[in-house]
Amino acid sequence: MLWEDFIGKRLLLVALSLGLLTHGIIVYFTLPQTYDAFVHIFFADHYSRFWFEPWEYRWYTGFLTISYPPLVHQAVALLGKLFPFKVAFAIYAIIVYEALIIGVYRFTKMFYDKRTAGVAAILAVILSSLVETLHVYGQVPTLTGLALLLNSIPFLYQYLKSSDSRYLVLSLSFIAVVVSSHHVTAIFGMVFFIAPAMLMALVDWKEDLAEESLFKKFVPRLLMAAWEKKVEILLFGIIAIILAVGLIFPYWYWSKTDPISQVSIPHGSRDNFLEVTSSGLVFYIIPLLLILALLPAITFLITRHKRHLGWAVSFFLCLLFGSGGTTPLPKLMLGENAFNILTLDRFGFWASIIAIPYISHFLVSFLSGPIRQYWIGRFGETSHFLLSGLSGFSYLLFIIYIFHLASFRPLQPREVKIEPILNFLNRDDHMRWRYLTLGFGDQMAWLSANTLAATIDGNYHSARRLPEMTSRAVERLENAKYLFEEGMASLTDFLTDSEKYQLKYVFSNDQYYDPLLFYTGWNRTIRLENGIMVWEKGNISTIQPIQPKDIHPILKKAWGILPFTTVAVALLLTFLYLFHFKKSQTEMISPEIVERYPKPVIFLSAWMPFLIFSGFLTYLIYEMLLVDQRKDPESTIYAFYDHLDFQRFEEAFSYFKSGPDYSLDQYLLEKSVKDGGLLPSYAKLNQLEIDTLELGEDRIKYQVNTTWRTSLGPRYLEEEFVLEKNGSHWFILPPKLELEIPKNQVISYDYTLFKKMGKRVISAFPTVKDDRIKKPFAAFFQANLVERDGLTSITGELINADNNPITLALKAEVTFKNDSLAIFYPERKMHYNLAPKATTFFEIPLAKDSTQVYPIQSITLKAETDVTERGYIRGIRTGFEIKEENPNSYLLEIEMENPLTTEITIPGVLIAERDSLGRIIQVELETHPRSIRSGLGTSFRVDLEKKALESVVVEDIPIFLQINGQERSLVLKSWNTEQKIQLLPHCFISPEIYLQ
Amino acid sequence: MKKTLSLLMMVWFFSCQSPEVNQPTWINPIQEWRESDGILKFKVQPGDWSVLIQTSSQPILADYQVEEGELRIAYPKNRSFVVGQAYIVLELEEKSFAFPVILNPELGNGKLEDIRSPKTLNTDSSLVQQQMRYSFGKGGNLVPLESGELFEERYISQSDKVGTFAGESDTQLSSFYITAGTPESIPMTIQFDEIQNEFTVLAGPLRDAFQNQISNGTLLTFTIRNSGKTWIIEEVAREGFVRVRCSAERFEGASVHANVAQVFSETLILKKP
Repeated sequence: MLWEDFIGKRLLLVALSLGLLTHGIIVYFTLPQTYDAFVHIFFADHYSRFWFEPWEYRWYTGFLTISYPPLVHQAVALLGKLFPFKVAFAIYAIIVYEALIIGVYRFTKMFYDKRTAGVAAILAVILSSLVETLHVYGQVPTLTGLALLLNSIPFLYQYLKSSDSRYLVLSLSFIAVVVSSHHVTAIFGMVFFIAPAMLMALVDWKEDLAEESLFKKFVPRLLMAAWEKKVEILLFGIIAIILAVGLIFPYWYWSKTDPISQVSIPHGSRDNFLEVTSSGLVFYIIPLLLILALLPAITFLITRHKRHLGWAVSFFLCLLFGSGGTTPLPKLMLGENAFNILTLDRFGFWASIIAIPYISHFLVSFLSGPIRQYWIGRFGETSHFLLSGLSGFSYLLFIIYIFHLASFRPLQPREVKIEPILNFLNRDDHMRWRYLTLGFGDQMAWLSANTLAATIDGNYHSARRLPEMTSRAVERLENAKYLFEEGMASLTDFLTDSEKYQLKYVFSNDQYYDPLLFYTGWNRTIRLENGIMVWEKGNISTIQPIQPKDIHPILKKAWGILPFTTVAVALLLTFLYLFHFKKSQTEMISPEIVERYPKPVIFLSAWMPFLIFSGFLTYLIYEMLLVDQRKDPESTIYAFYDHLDFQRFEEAFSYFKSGPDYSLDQYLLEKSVKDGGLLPSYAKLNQLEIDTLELGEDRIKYQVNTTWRTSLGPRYLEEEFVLEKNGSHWFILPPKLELEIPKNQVISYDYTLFKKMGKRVISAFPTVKDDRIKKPFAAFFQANLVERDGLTSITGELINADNNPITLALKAEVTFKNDSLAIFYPERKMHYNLAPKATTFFEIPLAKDSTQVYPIQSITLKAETDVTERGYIRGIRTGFEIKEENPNSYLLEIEMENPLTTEITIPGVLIAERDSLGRIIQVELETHPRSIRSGLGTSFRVDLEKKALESVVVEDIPIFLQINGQERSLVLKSWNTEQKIQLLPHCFISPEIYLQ
Repeated sequence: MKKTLSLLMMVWFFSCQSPEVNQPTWINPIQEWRESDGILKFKVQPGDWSVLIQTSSQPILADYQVEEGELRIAYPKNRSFVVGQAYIVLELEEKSFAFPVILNPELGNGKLEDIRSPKTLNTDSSLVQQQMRYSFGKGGNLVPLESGELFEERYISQSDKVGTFAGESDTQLSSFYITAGTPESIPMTIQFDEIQNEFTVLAGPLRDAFQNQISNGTLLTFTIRNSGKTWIIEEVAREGFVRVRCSAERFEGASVHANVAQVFSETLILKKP
């Protein structure tokens, strides 16, 4: 016994040291790549600045931090007073991991002897689910909750067995810390951990109870035992519930008064893992591979004795729920609503924790117990040594793979240096508006943690309350492109209605969004030293004060004081326990010893870890290095497009049939002269279909139909490729380049560029002595309320009447007959930047059936103007011809020529259709997928739906006009009524000619 | 023993009490304090006095001396402050005493400020400008203008000639601007270059209703129609002229007109001479 005690504690010390050496060293480097670390650091920053004020204004126009238990964040905030936040977070994570190792050790002691507990502690250091939770997810609150829960359960077990109320106090003190750090662990922990622990305690307390048959006597006697211990059970249950409610009462108050009503956000853990294997890998295979490998042993151990009955139910339920949508069972059992809200990977995580004692016991048996004796007796010591070594080695390789998962499968964009952004926000009062980041990943939370400026976005979806976000399955705007149509629609709403939320700056780390930004009226302002492009919108008012959601001052104080009080109490009681109580008590030693294992369990559990881990690693190596991507023509095409999509042009070139007349240089050169524009530069491949045009044994001709996602919507492309077989591999024949060369060797173009002199007095004072430039003149030529098939829109034409270029902001304030007011914006159907005396059409869509359902009383069109230096050059020559006209549509042939000295990146036109009186009925933006180089031209066809005949211009609803807050009337302009179609060039020029 | 202790406690307790501070006496009281009035004198008890001049906008740390029970405060001649009611605040330990006085510094002639609204006029508009004049003296204090008023407001009809004009205060920031309006008409001519085989359509000189040349950068749109196809060519004005070149090969026989805002030119035909 003494030896067992000694070896158990020594193994625990080894585990703690190993934990420190592995996680302690690596966590600082892995945390920037994790999903959640920066979110928790942001919360910590909040408490660091405003400990007793739960209103956080920097995300989503403000939210309450009482929406998440505060202990972890407050602890990091305190450490953050001594260390930089990243270091503070890493230190906290290490402390928690060490507490978790101790928790696992103590938890396992309930099941088996101390040596097994020591092995369990070591296993906790390298258990894939824990490694993934820390180093991939960065879910430190989950680990905190679990660490304290595992430390609490043995006290509860002892309390139920001994009825010594000091154990109750100790157990509850740890439960209090769990509640304060992670509510989900507290709630589900009651079900999946506390209940089985109680059952185990009752079975161990009632001697011979476990020997009874399950249904005849075991269950009734168990219920009798529970009745005998009713005081203890009720006391624990009631106090635990009081603690769970009382300690984080503001959280429950918030949940009740501000319930989450939002469209469910898709999560990979709910996927069918057989269909979406990437989700299966991350949410099931990686955390549970060891558990799956040792499932026979776990199943044997967890079902062989009735004291494990509760754990068996918990384990298999968690394993089932963790499998997400692979089977319909989790959805049936949890219900549709809970299934769509919960992230199910946490169940798999808990299954892996419950399995730790059983895995550890099997390992002890295999390495030095009865299984070893059996194996050596049958196959010799060498085979046992080899199998143990190879299994362990392959598992360690698997763990190293998880540590470096972010390198194999990048979880985040490259690191963004935030200092230039902070400098930008700090100067010239830029903090008086909201900003948005695009393509930052979870680093957007790190930026937020370092500035007092507010973003419209956020990284904590439970706190979202803006209707543009909650009405769609959009977790955050920052990564909208990965959320497909819904994400882009939500982002478009914010970029269009930016005035509504005082959104003035966008920091873009992903040029995918550039076309959308440009066509919704944003201008590039400056490229920061870190490569981030700053986009700005004119005419945005400064942030309006928002009344914080108030909660009672006592609740605020409680939120700031109680969580840390629980830690202080738990620590105090732990010391009391260690120094004054523990020695006088009977040691908690589990009586269970497993002498024999069934042979199938021995063989399966001995071989499966080695086979599964080595098989997994072999598959990874094969997938990365050995897959023959040219084995057949279809694979060749798929791989070629994959490389093109990720702009790996050298790899893409390797799929062409090599020859002396087609080198890599030639390929890259041809790409540089012909590839540019929306599709080659701003699109992601969405779908690829191959049609066979000609089929031969060694030669094949394909038509490849691709669908590309762009920020302006999906685009389709058809290309033809001829492939030839060379040896056992297929290669693409290089396409013949039809080079277009402009007539002139050198071209010139006269630009008139404008420069705002800006502040002419050096002063930090916001408005006075600024010598502010005046609001430029503008005028409306027409404004019409148009109705067609229940769809209503306001169309018209505007002119920049000034001698400076302007940026426009236009909105329609619609007053309904019930006195309600709604504001609508023109989205992309307008030119937002106008050269002096340039005009634009506009169309502002109103809500469907708005005139019938909500009769309109009046409309006020409000235009705001600012002098701009950018975006107004559109000097492209545009020709058009109506090639066909039928009752429903026009077929337009549009020809564009580029006389500028720079490439037109996205050629586009704004098309207006007029009725017989010259009134604009509709406006459409059409873009061409390929760029036009200097001196060249292109032509394309556009099908335009004919709306003039079926549309009605509503004339009995007054439209009032305002420009820069002053009422205006229409300026008369004559129009050739025979000309039904009119065009304006509207092109995106990506070279930063304005920024030079 | 108890009595001794009580006595000691009493002594210790009263030893913590400070003696009461007597109110200083203003030896040379005045209502208005000008630089020429010199030093203010107060009779004060000995101690570590501090002196503030609390003006209506900010407190000023005063220069002062305490000699033989007399506190002397110098006029804050190198400081900027707002004219008007102030308080001389004398402080000793926790006690402070305030003496009202009206500060009346020498403001000098003042610097004229000339504010115009709108700052930029366009000849399309009424050309009427609102002017506000006032004068700043030392410390940002308003100085009466020649008329004796602190502010003068008037409406000025500006001339119809474009340019950048200096305001009355003759500083860069007081400049105001008159810019050209919409062109009155768009004269247009066509020239043919036989060597290049191209037409040059020249619009200009473009002048507003007051014969001012329109601003550089003004956008002019040429619309060329040629056998069913309509070309929109946008070019910007430079020194009152806009030109566009069209090859005769593509555009011979086409009609062309130009427009700026609501003003249209006549329609011409591109034909070789």
